[in-house]
Amino acid sequence: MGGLLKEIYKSRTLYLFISPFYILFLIFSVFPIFFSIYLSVHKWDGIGEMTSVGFKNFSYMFNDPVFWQALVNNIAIWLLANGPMLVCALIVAFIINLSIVKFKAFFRIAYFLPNITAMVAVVIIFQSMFGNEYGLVNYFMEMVGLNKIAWFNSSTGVRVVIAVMIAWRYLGYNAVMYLSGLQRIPKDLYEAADLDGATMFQTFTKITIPMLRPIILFTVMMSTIGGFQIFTEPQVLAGNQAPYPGSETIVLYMFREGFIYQNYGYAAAVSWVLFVIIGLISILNWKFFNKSDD
Amino acid sequence: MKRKALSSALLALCLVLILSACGQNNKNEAAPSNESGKGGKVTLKMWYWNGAISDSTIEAAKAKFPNIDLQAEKLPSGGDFLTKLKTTISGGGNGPDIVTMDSWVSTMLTYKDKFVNLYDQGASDIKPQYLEWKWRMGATQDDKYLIGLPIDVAPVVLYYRADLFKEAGVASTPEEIKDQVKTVDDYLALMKQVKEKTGTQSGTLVDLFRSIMGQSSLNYFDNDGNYIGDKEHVKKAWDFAVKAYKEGVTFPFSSDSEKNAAMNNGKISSFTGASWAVGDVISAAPDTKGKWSIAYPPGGVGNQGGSFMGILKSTKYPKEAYEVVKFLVSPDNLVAGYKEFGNYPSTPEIYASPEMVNQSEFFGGQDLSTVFGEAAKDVQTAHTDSRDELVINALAAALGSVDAQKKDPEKAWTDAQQQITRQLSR
Repeated sequence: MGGLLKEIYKSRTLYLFISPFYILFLIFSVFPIFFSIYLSVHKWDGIGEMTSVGFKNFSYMFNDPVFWQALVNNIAIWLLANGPMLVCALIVAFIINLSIVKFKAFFRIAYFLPNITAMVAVVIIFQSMFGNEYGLVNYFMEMVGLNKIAWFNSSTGVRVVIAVMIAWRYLGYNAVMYLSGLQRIPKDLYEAADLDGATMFQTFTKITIPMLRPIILFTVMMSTIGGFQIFTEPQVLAGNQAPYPGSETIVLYMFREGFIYQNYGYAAAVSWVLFVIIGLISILNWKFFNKSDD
Repeated sequence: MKRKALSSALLALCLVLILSACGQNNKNEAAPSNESGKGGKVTLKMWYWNGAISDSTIEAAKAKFPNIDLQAEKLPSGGDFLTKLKTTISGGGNGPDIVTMDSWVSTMLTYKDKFVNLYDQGASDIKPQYLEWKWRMGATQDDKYLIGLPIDVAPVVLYYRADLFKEAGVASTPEEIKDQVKTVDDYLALMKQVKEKTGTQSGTLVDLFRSIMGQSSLNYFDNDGNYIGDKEHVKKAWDFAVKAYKEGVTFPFSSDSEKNAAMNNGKISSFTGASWAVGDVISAAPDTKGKWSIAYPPGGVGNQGGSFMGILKSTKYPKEAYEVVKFLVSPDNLVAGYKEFGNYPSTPEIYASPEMVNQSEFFGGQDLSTVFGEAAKDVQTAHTDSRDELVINALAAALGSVDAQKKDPEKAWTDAQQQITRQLSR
């Protein structure tokens, strides 16, 4: 410890130079993190006195069916959105990477484009597209002879709509990730497989997938973290009303508790539970993908 | 050595830049305070949101008070504004002098010591100019402490399609509706006939529930903060909404874009909405131009929105700030706001003035101000509580599930009450 401090002191000028970053980081990131721990064992409405409540916030949360419902919704939306989306992204990347495909740069950009759109605007467009009575999706479904679906009347429907939105948005992003991974796989592996008479499916499962493992781990991890932070879609979908059935995610739950109902202490407690959940799932992901490494 | 000197200079520059970025506000505020003693300018910072008070009025205030440097800062409206105000109040420091407040003004009465008591500044003198119910929202129970002066009100009236009502053979002029459709039961009977004859519906069952609750003198909490949201008056409104839904006269509970499309397609023939809904209808249903009308609402008048202006205790110049606020919310300036974006003034003396006439082509040339003015005088208010939102959201979600998921109304009611009780138990 003393050695480290000595080192820091020796190059103090350099540390002073980077000080604008870490001073701001201390104020706007480190302090709030520790303050939220303190906040999570208090009751506070934002203006009045803070009163210490011990672990009551946590015990209330674990006994609150709304919280558990939010967790269930969240996991459902996350699975619905990310499972199919990651598989599709891999297929898209694989196809773009085939030597017979021309205009690779165009496809890369075209698939990535949804990722840079303004989220709120997209949600509003999807909302009108999936409208119960006047939606474009129902219009097409009727045209091909199917029944209308009241998307926003059931929790499954709402979750599907949100999942479609997320998949649409992140498909291209993940495809580009996979594509960069595919291009790093040495060509000679494929040539060798070709000589041995391997089919395309075999090269895909025996060469492409194993070589892509680190990238897959990265995308799964990122979409897990993203999946537990779904907020804008359900928030904008339901507007100022209460959320649609099946759409209240943990972050939305936290937001409502904190910024609408002014239970800041409770919201801080929820955010820490969310942190633990994401941490646990990330560790699981990592273990799962690393185990089969050798 | 030279390098060291250079680096020190650069470093000093960096730090100065950071500090100046953080401390800009202090500088602006500190300077005039030194001068004010010598007859210099007084700086007043004001927070408002777009559409709270008209920009031309603010310019007029700047011209009227040459010795005041009025810095009006436009902030995002809604929840963001409230959050920012709350953090500023609790954090202390250099906040604004003058703040705009929405209809949540009553919930700020709990923290009244953070605001200047406007009665100390002589607000009693202008009290008679304003609607009494509106004034009371910004004052404590005993009417000794006033934290905000009224800006605008938002009386809830009945919006309806005059052509469809006529076709159905029901009361169809604003006068007929006011005379014949007095209670919500009358309104239900009317809707049934309109639905039979024209196949059109009214707002959703949640809209209906909200508007009936708005007409009540009791809300979800009593004056002592006890929960009364499970009592008779709420259940009655709930049952009425469910009844209307079962009669098939309410539009299916869904998103606003669906509702707007239905309005434009002529599927919705009436709904209750606040005065600011005029703009919403015009933009939502351009194809039905000229066919709409508004009338005095059946069952009584509620209020949805309307803002206030107050002064924070942290100000150095409460006197000057009060003069500015008084000027901004004076009847003449409120008329300007009404003309600019339709905020209906809270000063009844000007309702009859020719300046207020607002004939809208969209509403078939009807003068909207007459109806709003009549309604504004009869608004029914109830005690508001900071926890109201929580109760309303739970009840609205439950009521919505009666329509969307065909949930049993009684079960939805008891489930919602259980959830509310648990949430309030903290």
